[in-house]
Amino acid sequence: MQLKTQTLAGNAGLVIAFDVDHLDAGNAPEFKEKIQAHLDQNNLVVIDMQALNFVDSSGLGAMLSCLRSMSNKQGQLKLVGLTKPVRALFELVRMHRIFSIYNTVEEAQASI
Amino acid sequence: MSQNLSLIEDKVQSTLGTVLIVDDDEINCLIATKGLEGHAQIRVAKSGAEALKIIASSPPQLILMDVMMPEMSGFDVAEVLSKDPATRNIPIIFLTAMSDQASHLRGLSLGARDFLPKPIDLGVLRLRVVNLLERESLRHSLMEKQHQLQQALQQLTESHHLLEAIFNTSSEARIVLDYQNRIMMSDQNANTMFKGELSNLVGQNLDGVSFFDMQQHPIAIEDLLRRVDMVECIVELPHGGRLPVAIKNMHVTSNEQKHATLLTLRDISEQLRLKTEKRETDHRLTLLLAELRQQKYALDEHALVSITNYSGVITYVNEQLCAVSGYGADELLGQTHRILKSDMHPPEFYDEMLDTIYSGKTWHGEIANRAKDGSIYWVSSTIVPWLDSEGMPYQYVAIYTNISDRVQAEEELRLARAHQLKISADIQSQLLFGKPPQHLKGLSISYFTEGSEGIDGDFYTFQEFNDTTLDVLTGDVMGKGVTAALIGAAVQNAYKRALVQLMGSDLGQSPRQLPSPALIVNTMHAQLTPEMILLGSFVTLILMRVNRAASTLTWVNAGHTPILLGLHQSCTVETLTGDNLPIGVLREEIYTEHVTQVSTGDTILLYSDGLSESTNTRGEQFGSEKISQILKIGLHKKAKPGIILGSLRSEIHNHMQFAMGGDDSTAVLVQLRSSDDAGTSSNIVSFDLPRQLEQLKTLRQGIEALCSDQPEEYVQMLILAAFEAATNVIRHSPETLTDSPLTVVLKREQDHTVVELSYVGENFIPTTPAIPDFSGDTTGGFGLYIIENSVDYVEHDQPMPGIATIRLIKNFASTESSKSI
Repeated sequence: MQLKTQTLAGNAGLVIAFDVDHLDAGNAPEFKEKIQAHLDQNNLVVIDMQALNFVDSSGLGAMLSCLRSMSNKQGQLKLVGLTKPVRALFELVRMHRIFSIYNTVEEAQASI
Repeated sequence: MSQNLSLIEDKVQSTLGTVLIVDDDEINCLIATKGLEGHAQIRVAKSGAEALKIIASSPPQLILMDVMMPEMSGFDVAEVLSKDPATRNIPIIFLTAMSDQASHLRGLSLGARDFLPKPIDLGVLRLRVVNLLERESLRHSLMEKQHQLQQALQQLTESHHLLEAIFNTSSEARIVLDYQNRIMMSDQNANTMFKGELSNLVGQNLDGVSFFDMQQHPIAIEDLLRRVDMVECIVELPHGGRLPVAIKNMHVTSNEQKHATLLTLRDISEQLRLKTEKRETDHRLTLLLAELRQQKYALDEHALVSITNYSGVITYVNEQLCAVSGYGADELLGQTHRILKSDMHPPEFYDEMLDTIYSGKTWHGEIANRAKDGSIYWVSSTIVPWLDSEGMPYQYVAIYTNISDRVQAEEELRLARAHQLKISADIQSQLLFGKPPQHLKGLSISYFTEGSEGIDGDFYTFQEFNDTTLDVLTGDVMGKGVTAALIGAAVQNAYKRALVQLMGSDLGQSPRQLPSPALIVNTMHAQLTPEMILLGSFVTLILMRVNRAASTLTWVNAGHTPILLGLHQSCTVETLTGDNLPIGVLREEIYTEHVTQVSTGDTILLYSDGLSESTNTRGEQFGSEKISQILKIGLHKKAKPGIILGSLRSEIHNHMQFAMGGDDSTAVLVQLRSSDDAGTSSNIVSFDLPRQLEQLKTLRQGIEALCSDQPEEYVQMLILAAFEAATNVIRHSPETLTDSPLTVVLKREQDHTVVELSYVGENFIPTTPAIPDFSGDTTGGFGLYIIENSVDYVEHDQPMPGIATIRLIKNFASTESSKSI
């Protein structure tokens, strides 16, 4: 897994996207490891989840730990581009209320 | 005469004393007084009584007394005086007119010194008085002098005794010589020394005694006496016998310049003996020290030595220790051993060491130390506490041998062995265990091998001929190690060669027939047995052929464990034995085959004797009976091969507990499926998944394929639930069975889909309802909740001993409203 990064307009933050289509028990630890540096170096991180069409509880747990990491330093984490099954999972476990979820990166940026 | 008198008068006046004149006649008193004037002190008494009074108070030196007196006569007074010792000796001159002899006699007897007739002649009176007084004075003087002399004499005697006592109580012998070197006196010690003969020599000189110096040269006594220091020499006693003595002499000079000599002699024979002993001891000590120095040198050459004081501060290090540790002596002295501490030992290691030596006991052990450059070196150590007189350690001497080389060699050996084992395992898995074809029509195959330590000789090979026929070759080479493995490989090779050989010879013929198992085995035997005999080895084997088209099972058993055939219809297990010897035993052996009917659902189990003979710590073998039983249960439950084998493995593990297997345990299970094989149109899909989180792709693909007609949401949720379940199983795998696969069965029924995961292990039925923390504070605990909310039913099952099954059932949307999220 390689994380694709892009700086937001106006240097407001970082957008991170996936190059795989699943975030599950098999690769969640790797994801956590690879994203940590980005979380440390930025105050606003937007995770673009368009590519993912499968996330399981491990993937969910990885997302939660990212959220906590940002909150601890008063940063912000925003999720965009959730596909249907992923959205369904988040709603199942009520995580859609805890994460800031937007449809697009632009919407997320506008909300700052 | 008058000149003499005046001389005398002078004398008298100055020395003579008091005269008492006693006379009742006053005129006589006056005359006498006058007469004695200037010659003595005069006192007068008129009567005897008065005289006595005066005498009592202050006695005169002379009494001039009249005899004829009233009341008390002079004689009466004298009588009184004579009775008193204090007055008895006072001289009396009687004045009397009487001249008869009787009175004279009486007077004399009363102590009269003289008589003077009356009338008194003054001149005579004076003379007589003066004479008498003089004599008295002289007498007193004499008596005093005599008293003094006596006192002096007594003192002298005492001094003499004291001197003698001192003389005699010395520990040395003392001889006093006079100025002519004659013996004057000798004390007891000298007498003893000279065996009592010195006393005989008193007054004689020392001729009979000879003196020699320590080199046996004679010394003249005069020379000896001239020495002022202490001289050690040998004295030869008169009776013979020599004595080493130390002689000192002192000259004593008396008033008359005549000197005496005090000789003190001390017997030094004991002293000399001790000196000799000491010399010998010193010599021995020097030799021992030289030996010690040699030993220390040898030690230093070989060993590392350090000494620490009671508080652990290093007080000495030898060269070797400095060389090995890389520190100079100045860097180590004054430090504690902490400077050399590595991280290789837990604190308990050092605690135990210190406890031992603090209690005064020697400690042995191997220590890893850190050199100055950071590298680790190992020493074999002995630390000895040195104890003081109270048994308390006051310093610790440590001797180390550098064993780093050995440790390194051991490590390298260990690595080499591990490497060899790995190679062996690789050989085994690559070479000896062929992978069974997974997608055979109508056959499901499962297998497992659990290796003992090192390579064993187990092997199996699968040979797929066509859609309907499968050969399984399995066997066990006698012995262990690489040789057994290579022989196993050779056997497999021999099988292939036999095939090629036999099939090649069939070329051109039609219909081509597969060579029968018996033919193959005999061909193998022809090739292998001579070689095996040479190698002194043999191999048991089974060649089994399953022909689905003919529904036959053909086998040759060369001394191997029997085949267990589980019959699907009757749920019974048949034991298919063989009657051939292993390959490599008898050249003349002819191998025969047997045939039996098999049908769909039948399960064939091949196992090695390592499996059935798995022995636990109590010495009990697992036994073939148990294997049959498990197969039977599997038949009843219609369990898949993976599950049956998983159960078998689990049971063997339970049996073995922690005992190590002596032989490899190998089992191959072949199950005849219905002719609907694994394909996209089948309603049942079954496969084994490895227990790895990264390998779950097949699961997703299988579900997607089976439910391709269902809404995306349905498929996604089912896959999600299946993944959560699989992840859970994999995460909770028992350590020992991480390679036992997950058996997946996907079933499509009329109105629902079933996803079944079976695995060796326990059901993870949660005791608390799966309501996870939604606050976002915890990152886990969602799995079960997700599962339960993604599918309609979750079932748990234990299909076979040691096997757990979780079953997820999701209804199709068309038949029933799904559980709302």
